[in-house]
Amino acid sequence: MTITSNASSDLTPQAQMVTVVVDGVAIEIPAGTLVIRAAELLGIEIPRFCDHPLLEPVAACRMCLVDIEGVPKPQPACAQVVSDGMQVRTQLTSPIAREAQEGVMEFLLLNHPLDCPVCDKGGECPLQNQAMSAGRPESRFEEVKRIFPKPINVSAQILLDRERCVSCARCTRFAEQIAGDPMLELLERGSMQQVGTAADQPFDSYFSGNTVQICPVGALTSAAYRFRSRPFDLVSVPTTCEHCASGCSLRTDHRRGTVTRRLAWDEPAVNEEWNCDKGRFAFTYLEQGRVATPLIREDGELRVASWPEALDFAARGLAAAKSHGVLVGGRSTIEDSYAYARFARVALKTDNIDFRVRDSSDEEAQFLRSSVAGTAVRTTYESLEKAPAVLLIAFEPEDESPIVFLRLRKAARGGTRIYSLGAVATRGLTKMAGTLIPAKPGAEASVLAGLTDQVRADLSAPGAVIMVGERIAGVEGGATAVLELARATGAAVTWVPRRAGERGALDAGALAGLLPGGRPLTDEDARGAVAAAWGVDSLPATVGLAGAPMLQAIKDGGIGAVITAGVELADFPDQALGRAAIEAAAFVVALENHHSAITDLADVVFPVAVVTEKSGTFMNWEGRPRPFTQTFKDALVMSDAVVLGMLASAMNVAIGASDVAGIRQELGALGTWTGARAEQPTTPAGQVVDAAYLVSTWRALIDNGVMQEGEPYLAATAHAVVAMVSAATAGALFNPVNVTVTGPLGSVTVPLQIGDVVDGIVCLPLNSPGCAIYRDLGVRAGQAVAIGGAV
Amino acid sequence: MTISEATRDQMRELAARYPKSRSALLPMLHLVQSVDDEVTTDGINACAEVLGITSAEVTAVASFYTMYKRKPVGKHHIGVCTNTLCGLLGGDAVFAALSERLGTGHNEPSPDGDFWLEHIECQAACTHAPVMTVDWEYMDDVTPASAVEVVDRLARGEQVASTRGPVIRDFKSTEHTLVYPLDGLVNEGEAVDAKMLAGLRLANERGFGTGGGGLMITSGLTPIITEHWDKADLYTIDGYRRVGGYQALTAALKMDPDAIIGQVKDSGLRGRGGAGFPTGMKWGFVPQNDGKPHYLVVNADESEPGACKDIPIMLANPHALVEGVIIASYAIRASHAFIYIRGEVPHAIRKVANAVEQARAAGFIGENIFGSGFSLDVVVHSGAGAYICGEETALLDSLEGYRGQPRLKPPFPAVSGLYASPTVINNVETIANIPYIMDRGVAWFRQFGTEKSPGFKVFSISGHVVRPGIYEAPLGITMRELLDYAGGIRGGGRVKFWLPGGSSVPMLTAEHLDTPMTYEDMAAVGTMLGTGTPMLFDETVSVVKAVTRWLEFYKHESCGKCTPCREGTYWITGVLEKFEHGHGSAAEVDTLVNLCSQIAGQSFCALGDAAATPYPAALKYFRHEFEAAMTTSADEQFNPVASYVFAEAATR
Ligand SMILES: Cc1cc2nc3c(=O)[nH]c(=O)nc-3n(C[C@H](O)[C@H](O)[C@H](O)COP(=O)(O)O)c2cc1C
Ligand code: SF4
Ligand code: SF4
Ligand code: SF4
Ligand code: FES
Ligand code: FES
Repeated sequence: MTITSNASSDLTPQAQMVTVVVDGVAIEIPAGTLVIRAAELLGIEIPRFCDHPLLEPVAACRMCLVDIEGVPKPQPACAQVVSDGMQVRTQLTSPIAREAQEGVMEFLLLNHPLDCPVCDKGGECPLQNQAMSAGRPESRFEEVKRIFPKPINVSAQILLDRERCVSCARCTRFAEQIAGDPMLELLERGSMQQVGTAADQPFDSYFSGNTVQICPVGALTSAAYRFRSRPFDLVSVPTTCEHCASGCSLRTDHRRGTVTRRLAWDEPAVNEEWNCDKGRFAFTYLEQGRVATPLIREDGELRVASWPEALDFAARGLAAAKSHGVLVGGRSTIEDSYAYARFARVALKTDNIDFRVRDSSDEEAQFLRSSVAGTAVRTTYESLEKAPAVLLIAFEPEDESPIVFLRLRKAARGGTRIYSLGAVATRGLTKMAGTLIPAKPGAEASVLAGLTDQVRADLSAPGAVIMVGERIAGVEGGATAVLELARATGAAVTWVPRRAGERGALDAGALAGLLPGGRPLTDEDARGAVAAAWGVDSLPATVGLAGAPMLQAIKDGGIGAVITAGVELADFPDQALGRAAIEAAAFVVALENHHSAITDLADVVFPVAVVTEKSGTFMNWEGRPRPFTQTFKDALVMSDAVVLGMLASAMNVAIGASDVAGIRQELGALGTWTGARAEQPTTPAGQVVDAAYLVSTWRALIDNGVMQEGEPYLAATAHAVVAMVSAATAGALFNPVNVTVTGPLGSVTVPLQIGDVVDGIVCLPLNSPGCAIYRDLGVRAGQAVAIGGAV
Repeated sequence: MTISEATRDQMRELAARYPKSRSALLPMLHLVQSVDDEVTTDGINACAEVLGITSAEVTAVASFYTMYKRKPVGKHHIGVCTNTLCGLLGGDAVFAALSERLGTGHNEPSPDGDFWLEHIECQAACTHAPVMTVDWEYMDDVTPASAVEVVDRLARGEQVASTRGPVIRDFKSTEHTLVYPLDGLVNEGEAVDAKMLAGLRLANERGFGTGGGGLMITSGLTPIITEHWDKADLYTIDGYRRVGGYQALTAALKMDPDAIIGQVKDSGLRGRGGAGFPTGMKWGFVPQNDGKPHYLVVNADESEPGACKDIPIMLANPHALVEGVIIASYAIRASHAFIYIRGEVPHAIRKVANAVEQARAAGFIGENIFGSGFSLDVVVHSGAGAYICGEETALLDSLEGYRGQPRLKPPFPAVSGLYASPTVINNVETIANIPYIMDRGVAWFRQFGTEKSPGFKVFSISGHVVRPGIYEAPLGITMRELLDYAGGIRGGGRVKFWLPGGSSVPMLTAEHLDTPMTYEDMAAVGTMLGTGTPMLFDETVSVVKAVTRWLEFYKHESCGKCTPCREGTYWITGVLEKFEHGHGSAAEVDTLVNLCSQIAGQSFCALGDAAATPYPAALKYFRHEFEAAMTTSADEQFNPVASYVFAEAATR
């Protein structure tokens, strides 16, 4: 994939270069570089605690003091910028620097408990390491050490051992500068200074785990990992997060076949050095509730079967059906999605395939085919940072793509204007100092068509971006209006799905009407080329069914057999339809890694690998491939592609490579489509439902998601489940404390919160504990609800 | 208690007073205490809600400042200064007596919940040692018996008047005054007493003039800022105008602002806050025509142990400060000025707020002042108990509603200060000099003092002298001469050690009494003029105890930001306390020197350097006393009662 960017040309003039000498070695670097960075470039490591390249300097710990010629006092290398001709001497060549650092180290160890043997950080602790390299062998301190009752919970997930803290303020600066969640602060002063929270407000930040990672001592630990193992007993493997389309690089640490923790991995182009708590802590699911062996249904009951038996059973069941459908949940790797795309067209001879196990629409499919699939990378994290303006539609980045949020917030701090079109000024939008363009659900398309001159002008500036979330599918005329706005302003449109597999599935062709590389199925040349590459005479030529129409067809018997891959019935907005379809299907083959409502209904279940058991590639929202390797090299569980390959063999069909390398080669050979693109949608703007109260909703980052199961500490840091309404709307209610919201299927009663919400709109989490609105209310965004206690 | 809607409305109104709402946080927390008697969780949440910040951010601020309490204070807050000077002069005995009377210890309520006892740091009233405060109003020159009597009378509900302030009300009322200082009590009580007039009266007696002859006047007394302090209504605008006040302003408003800066530069005035930086040069650093608002911030945090000259200036002659503020603002093109006054001095805050209001009413502050096209707003802002907020960048953070921790420099405040805009920060006395320089001219000013230290100085002389008090004299005067004016050491005794300007400057001994009090001469003998507020101790005093007490102060006031100061003061204090009790060791005598050198020059701000100052200086002259303290406690070496300034020895 080539990465091209038309982002605004970098206007900063070429930085002036200066020459500095560190420990006798000269280096030419841009003026304004910090001494500590200059030394790093020369391979000289100056000890440090408070310094962090992504945080603003504070020069608080004084560990990095160096000797600068002509300056009477030693200076902190982390805050001192270089100037031309500067002569810096570090601890390596200057007794002054060395003594200063030894002194600081002695002070730091003064009140430190030195409980390294029982500390999580032991073995990977900057304090421990630097005490060896920059400290004196023994302490002269004989007085009483400061003690704190240990440890305290700054959140359900994060614990703090205050006596280990060195007051470097990395955690608090991260909370404020990066996450925008200044709920973790330095309290008290002097030698009693300590990190802490408000009495009644925990540090419930989606990004809290980063503080554990950047804490240079073992003061901050996570409930999930505390005391679980010692760093030097762990094996570390770099990987890509499977939880969302941000595409973070992570490091997985494991021991004896079990993942013990996950950390953010340094990837400047994507997640810098951060990740979110879901990606960090939600991995228990990898082991719990796994499907262990193939299962087949016999006399109405599922029973364990051997692989040959199950494959044969599945092949016969599929052959018996006249028509087929394939549902690929949005969590597959590109390689697996490609295998499904090919299996559907070649083995099942159908184009009934969809990766959108969520709210979807035909307009959305047209938008994805015409304007997203197989397009060159245009908007990147980096270009977002430089964008003059960004408009968000049907997208709440903090919940739906947290690292996009962090980058947008960074951009906003650097001057990017953020607009969000929707019914709610979310917490994330407030933290980005963004502006809400109010639109009732249903009215988005017409509001898009009538934006103010100011917003249009901002979006017309070179480098401006329109970010569209997957919820655009629920906005009638929304995608059409977005494309129209992009044409009018020249802004780049970028689609940010939630799930890690969706962008890749799209490019792999796991959507009706679309072949790999963005090829329109209806284009004869495109079809011919793919058929040739796949070694078949022809491919289905008419666009198959997808989304709700496909479910309807399954339910009505129009489609007989279904293959599911990582499908949660609860993810369908019309849950009754989803369940009825699977129940009605003549034959269901489930490739799943977990037992679920689907496996309970399936006729054959094949166990497939989770991310730690296979290698593969996720494509993130940018369109950037994020490959990862197998964590557990000796895992025997097979990937979806391998199982599909065996199934095809059982059906006497050849579907090509089923190993990752082979599939990558096939995909590479196919390349991306350069011919005419599919038609863009032309759906007229939708209407606002005429009712007193309408729902606005999306999925919270930490919610009922199945991949978060088994993580009680993570779950406890979820944002409060509330119904948010405007003050005016609340004013019309009898009970301003709790509200009961009712839809066709039932009611939920949740606390009321007043916020910056369009009047008449009730904002509820889509799938959170106590408020799963598809299931509990039977409504989706923009539909009417009743509110108990309304005057 | 829940914060009422009316209180929230007041919070919103406070937030609107400032260019950025968060600046109102310190006043808002005082407001919380004025209704809740402590900083309650509800109060914290209300502040957070009104300012749109998190409760953690408010908690971080509330827990930084010592005036904010986390338990109900009760009806009265009783403070006893036990910093070195007051403590050694008898404050320790006063505290002990009160502790016994109230049945409680430091920073705790009495069992009946009516009183809160606290040993407090220097109250800028060292001339009146030992000092006690009731609801932060001054009770000067107390003895154990008089202090207990005050409490007894308060407990009986009798009326008690502050010695330099109004009749005592209660803690919550004072907290209210800190937010709303125009409380109608500005005329109550006598704010200027004999000690504040000591120098003036002597000058009048002896017929000292204030210029008019000669050059380089470096002796005698020169009451200038203090000239009219004996006039009962000087603090009012009428009283001030009657002695020529605001003439300088009227003239200055007709001048080109740059010409004013030029005149201040030419005068050679150096900052009176401690560092002695040339004032005109500082004003000249402010970039002009940069399109940003400019700010003047007056540093009225006076908390340096031993310094008590800014608070007296504000009590006696607040209009000189206000007039100076207006002229300085005009010169640097600031349309907003802030006077940041430490919170523990409600009566000084009243006087200054009243002066600002009167100046506003008279048209000296406001829109288009006397048709000059120049507009100015002046805000009087109360601190909340943190010595570090006297450090100029910490002061800015505090004024912006944050923890008072110093900022990285560069950028310097003149370029990026308050709200990241160009800001000049000057000491009270510095600014109070301005009207006189503008009125009487450079030549007149320069006839006092020396080439490098021109002008005069409000010296506060405290300690074991016969007549502690305020003495205004030319720079270049010797301590010996000043001491003579102050009546010499009590009982005909001798100076054991003295500090020319606060606890942050190295101590001197009797051999230095003839060194001229100038920036340059003090530097030459290894110390600094500092705040120019000499403290003198006689031979009854244990230097070990004095130094320990100062270190306890620095440990208490360390902001915690940087390692050397935060940990170093903790360590050194612990070791010194052992010495004080006679448990030091020979090795530690030297370890301490080494620890001080690990702080000095390596800490983030000058507080760390200051903390590293007393011990090495004391060791230089009194090594034997520290060595003796390896086995003999300070109290055994020196009977503490002997250093008290009252004769109530038996109470201890
Ligand atoms: C710890 C510390 C405390 C200080 N306290 C004060 C103070 O209370 N008042 C003051 O004017 N300057 C104080 N200063 C000095 C100020 O930082 C600053 O130099 C001064 O206000 C500048 O005003 P000037 O130039 O008029 O002296 C303090 C400095 C430090 C390091
Ligand atoms: S908890 Fe860790 S990161 Fe936070 S201030 Fe302390 S040492 Fe630094
Ligand atoms: S932001 Fe997305 S990709 Fe990154 S760690 Fe979180 S869930 Fe994983
Ligand atoms: S020296 Fe450091 S800890 Fe001490 S007051 Fe200054 S910044 Fe704070
Ligand atoms: S790393 Fe430079 S002062 Fe902390
Ligand atoms: S007022 Fe007590 S030492 Fe200054």
